[in-house]
Amino acid sequence: MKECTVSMRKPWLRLCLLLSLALALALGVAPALPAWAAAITLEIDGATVPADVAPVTKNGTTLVPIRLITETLGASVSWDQASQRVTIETAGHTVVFTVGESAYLVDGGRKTLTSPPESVNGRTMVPIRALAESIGADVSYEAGANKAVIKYFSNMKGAIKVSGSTTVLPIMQAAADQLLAMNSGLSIAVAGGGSGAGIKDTQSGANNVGMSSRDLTADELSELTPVTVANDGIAIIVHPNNPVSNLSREQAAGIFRGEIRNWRDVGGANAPILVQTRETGSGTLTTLEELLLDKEPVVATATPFTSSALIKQAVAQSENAIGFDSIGFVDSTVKAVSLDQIAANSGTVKSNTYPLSRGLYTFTKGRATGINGMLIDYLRALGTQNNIVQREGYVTIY
Amino acid sequence: MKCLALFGIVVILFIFVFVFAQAAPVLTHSGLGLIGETGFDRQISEAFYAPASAPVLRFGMLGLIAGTLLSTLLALAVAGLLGVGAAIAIREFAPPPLSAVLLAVTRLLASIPSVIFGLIGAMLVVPWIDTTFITVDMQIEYLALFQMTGRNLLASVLVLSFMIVPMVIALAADALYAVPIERREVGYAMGMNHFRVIVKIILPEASPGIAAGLILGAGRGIGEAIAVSMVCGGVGTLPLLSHGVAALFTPILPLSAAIVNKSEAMSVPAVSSALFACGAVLLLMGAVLSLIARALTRRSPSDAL
Repeated sequence: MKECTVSMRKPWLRLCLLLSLALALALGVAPALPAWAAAITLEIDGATVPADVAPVTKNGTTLVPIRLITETLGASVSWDQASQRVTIETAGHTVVFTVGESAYLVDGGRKTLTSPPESVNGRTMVPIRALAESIGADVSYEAGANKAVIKYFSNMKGAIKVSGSTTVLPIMQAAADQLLAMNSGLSIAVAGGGSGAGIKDTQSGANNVGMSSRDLTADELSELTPVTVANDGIAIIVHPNNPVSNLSREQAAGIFRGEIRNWRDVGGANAPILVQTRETGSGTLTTLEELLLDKEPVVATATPFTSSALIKQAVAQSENAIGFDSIGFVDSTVKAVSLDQIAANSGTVKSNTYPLSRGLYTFTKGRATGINGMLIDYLRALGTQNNIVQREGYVTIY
Repeated sequence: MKCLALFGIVVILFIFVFVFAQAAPVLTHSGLGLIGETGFDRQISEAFYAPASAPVLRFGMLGLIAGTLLSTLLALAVAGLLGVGAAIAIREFAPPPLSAVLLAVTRLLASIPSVIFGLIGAMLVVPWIDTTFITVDMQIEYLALFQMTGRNLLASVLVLSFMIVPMVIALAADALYAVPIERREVGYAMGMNHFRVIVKIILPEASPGIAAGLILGAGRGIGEAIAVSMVCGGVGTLPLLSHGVAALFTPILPLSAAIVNKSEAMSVPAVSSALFACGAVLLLMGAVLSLIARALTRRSPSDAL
């Protein structure tokens, strides 16, 4: 089926294919192919989704590659080889398909498909209508254009109140702006207040969705359901010419507390350590103080800057400077030192082995429902992760 | 016309009332400590993290006020000397076509947006101070007290001077021009040479106008936020004379720059009130300056300015 999509773009290929198809039909092998139909295009929220394995129609049911829609809709997928089960999880719903079986589960409830999921070219194909309707999306089929149209993020109506962590706030705000542009009957009010306030608000019902930059405690988890929407890591940065390339956690903390003031004491030259910091109110500064300094402030003599770009520039220009920045913003103009021999990069942040890393969460009281779940799914969608999460300097969840 | 004037007065009154009302929580809690104590940076940080039930409302702005006054006064001294000298050169010594060109250029300079001066300061003045005056040994010696880098009091003074000089030149040149020709002729008739006429007759005659220029410059210096915030160092350290020359290399945080830099934390009511308190102190300084300017111009009613 792969050739099929290629042929759409190259007329001569299409011709070849048609000829070979005619030949195959003539030779009587046609019944061996899956029930044939012209390639179906898949449109999700107004954008055509390119498929490496094209959707197929079988007995009137359209099957699509699973990875494709889950990435676009922000759902997570897990695959169990032994039982041939695929579990699709959005913030609000869990759908379980089994390859070759027409029974499937939606949030634990048993339902039946007209055509079971199957494996094509090593890709699991699932029935689009059943999946989309299970998670609350609107599905329609345009026969003329041979197009399946799914409306998920462009099908939101109602009001959502969001509050909590100022670290998650910029991601949430940007995502909310995009959703508001896609939906006319939707209102999203985003406020900060900090993780603690967000958790309290969700517990009391003052918001629909809370944001947190810290893990929820066991107590909080009994009431709230968290979903990871991004990862955050802070790199300790120095001038590229600085011979120091690793610090222990204690050394780093000592430097930012102002107890260690000479590079000689941590294996460098006899030179002053010029600590650069961010102005009060910066989420990155708050994170550093929480993760490295046990909530104590950075040394008072440190030079403060008002943005990520400015602190990076200051470190890039001063040989004896040390600063910090979100890992997503670090580039070759500065050197990120490793902490306890663990390098600062998106890999060590995702695996949570790097000491100055943490997950960023949204959560709801109980499992998310309706548009609240859609909002959280939108944050997790591949497009949002690439265009918003990464651009704001955070590390994506994928 | 009367209506418009009244409207203007109401607006100005409203500004005062609004700023002081916003600043009231911090003003009442801090009392005289506001202008007598230091520690503003740390207090902002504490106020930002304080729980809403126990807000931090005590602030000490001595470092900020000292930074504002020192940077402005030193800049005024530099700009006064250079500006008055340049005005004399333009009015008394340059041939008329050249002086016309120079005055036009000066007026153009006076209208350059301050952020440009800040940019020049950050890109040229700061590295220059860093490489010319500051050694690693000095940095190590003072590191426990403050970071000695190119961003400091001296950089602020220089950038402010650049900004004020064109204004001083323009106003001083006007004041020199306004001195009646007869006075000058009296001097020459008494056998004075050109230099003595300038020093003994023209400068004293023009002094209220020059002073008005300086005060206008001081107003710009005190209120300047963006350019200074780019080169001042951003930490409200109190420069100490006991450090000698090193005091010039102390990072400072003038009141206006504090409002710019700390505004990121303004979502917290206590921080917001503290920044309005900075504004209130600035307003008072500005009001005092304009009263002084008025007194100076009153003293010589003959002067056109």
